[in-house]
Amino acid sequence: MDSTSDSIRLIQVSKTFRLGRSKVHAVRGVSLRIKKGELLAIVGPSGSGKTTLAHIIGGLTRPDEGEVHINGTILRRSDRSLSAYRNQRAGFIFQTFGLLPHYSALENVSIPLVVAGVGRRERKQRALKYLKLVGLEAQAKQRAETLSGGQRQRVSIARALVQHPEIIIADEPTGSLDSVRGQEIMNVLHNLCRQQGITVVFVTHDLQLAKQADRIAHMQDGQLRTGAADA
Amino acid sequence: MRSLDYLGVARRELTRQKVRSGLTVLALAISTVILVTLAAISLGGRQAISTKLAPDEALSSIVVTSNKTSANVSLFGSVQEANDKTAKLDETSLQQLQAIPGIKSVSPRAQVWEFQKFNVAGADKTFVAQAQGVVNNGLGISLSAGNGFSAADAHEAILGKSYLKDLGIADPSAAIGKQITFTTQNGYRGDGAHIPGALATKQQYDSFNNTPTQIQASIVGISKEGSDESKVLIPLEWARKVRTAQTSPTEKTDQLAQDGYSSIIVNTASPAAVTPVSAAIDHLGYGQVSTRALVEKLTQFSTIMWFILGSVALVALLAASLGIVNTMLMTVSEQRFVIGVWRACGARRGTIAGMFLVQAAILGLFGGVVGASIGWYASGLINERIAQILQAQGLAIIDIATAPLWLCAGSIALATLFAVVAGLYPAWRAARQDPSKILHSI
Repeated sequence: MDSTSDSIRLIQVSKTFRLGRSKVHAVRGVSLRIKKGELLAIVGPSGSGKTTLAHIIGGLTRPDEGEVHINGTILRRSDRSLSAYRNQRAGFIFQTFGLLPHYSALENVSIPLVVAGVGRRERKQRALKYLKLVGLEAQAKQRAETLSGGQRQRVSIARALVQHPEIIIADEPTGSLDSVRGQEIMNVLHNLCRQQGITVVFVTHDLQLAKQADRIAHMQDGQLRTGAADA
Repeated sequence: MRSLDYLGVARRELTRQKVRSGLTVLALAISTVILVTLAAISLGGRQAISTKLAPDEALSSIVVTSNKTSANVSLFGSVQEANDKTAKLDETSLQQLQAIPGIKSVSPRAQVWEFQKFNVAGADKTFVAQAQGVVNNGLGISLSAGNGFSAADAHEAILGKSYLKDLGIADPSAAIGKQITFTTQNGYRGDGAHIPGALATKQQYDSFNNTPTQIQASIVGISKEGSDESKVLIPLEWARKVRTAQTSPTEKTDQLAQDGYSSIIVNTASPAAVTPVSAAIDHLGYGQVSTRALVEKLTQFSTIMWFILGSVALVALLAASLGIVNTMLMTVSEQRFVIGVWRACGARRGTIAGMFLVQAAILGLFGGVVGASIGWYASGLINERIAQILQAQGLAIIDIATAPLWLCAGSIALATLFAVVAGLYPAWRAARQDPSKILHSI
């Protein structure tokens, strides 16, 4: 496989958490390649390490061992590098949406722009553009806590996209939605890959949803059983 | 992240918990009120010392006394020992003092014990006389109206300024020329006494011994505020005559010559000369009290008070700061999700710490502003009340509490600084939160 077309490459990545006196090996020596514009589903039972793996890919947690390469360059472990990566190159979508309830939809979408130091006027324009893209322009000033589940997830998607990321990490994005709304979100993720060439990694335990992905990676006991794509 | 955005985020989070933020601000405000009020009282005391006790000319003067113990000025009183050395203050003393280098002038003072009371024409009040005989112009007496004495034995008086209020005289120059009547002790035998002749009856003698004498003089000057503000000064030679008693038809006793002067006021060439001149006077065996030494002791006392009061205020501020630590730690705990979201959106640890420090600073700033405003107002209120009390007792009005702008601004800055320092640990805790764990657990 040609490594230059890889959007994400993980080499022997491991992550261990301490739980009291015991250690939990959440991810053990995982190697994985994901192509640019690919929709990858990570599936596996609870506690298999799929969310931890997604967080490592998204730069939200540092691996104890191994390397993460993004578009051919190694992802450094410093707070500065990881924060810049999360702000400019990766976007997150969470099962429980990850919105600040007391902020309006517009303000929630603006958070990555505030962090980047974008001016007030420009960030309003950009946030509105992405709220319009997900069909929520009319709800821009509405507080997040007053929106429905589907609307909240669309705000979450708008926020993930607002900095034009190369990668979207979606952790159980349909977990809190009904099947119709869940399918809508899946369609959005598909479109992001197909139309904008964004690499999407989504975590799910729903195999039916996973089948809509380009590839399925199976996690069990912190290890990748299938779907490593010849890492 | 921009500075204004830090403020915006802090405002959003603080207003979410209005009651808690309000109580934290209140605790800081109370501490700042204590700080400003105590500091204002301490400052007011220092200013009162420098303005009331230490005018420029007073700082150059030394009061020489016959008793050496009087040199040991103590704010808590002094103990006079039975075998204290005393030296009579007389003409020789004047010559000795004049020979000391650095002395500009030497002016003797004689307490006129014979004058017991006085009253001023046009006023129905009688005052207890604290009359002192001084040389013409007093050499060290500053007048707010009038001139010095016209002659060394003239029946004239310089009245202390503090009496004017009780006499109902607002303009000191209005008192010039008024008649002052001194009432002597019973059986007075000095100048102006009507002593029965050799042929007087026992009844006439008894009547004389039980009757005071009224002696009149005219007011020629009003002394300024300071050490002479509650005294009545008369010319030295007249004082000598008053103190010279006709003890028999042929014999007179000069009690001033016998007892010596009550004190000698020494004026040095400059305040800097006070210390060496004091040492020289001490070497001669006289007691001495200088305004400078008194001011130094009072300033020293005031500085100690400043530190004590300041420490009390700082402890109060420290207690309020602990409240901020507690509030901020609770906020960090409650805002774990907020921290996780901001971190997922790319906020660095420093950015998160900054958010919490700005929240702490805003609490400190608000507490400081509210506290300093109340403290400033309270200082004014204290002055108003104290002025009423002083006025009722006929005392000179002084500002007991002074809260200048720099004190208010400094207190606000200090409250903010304490709040920021108190916010350091919670901010560090917030910055150390693992976003992966936070977002994994929601």
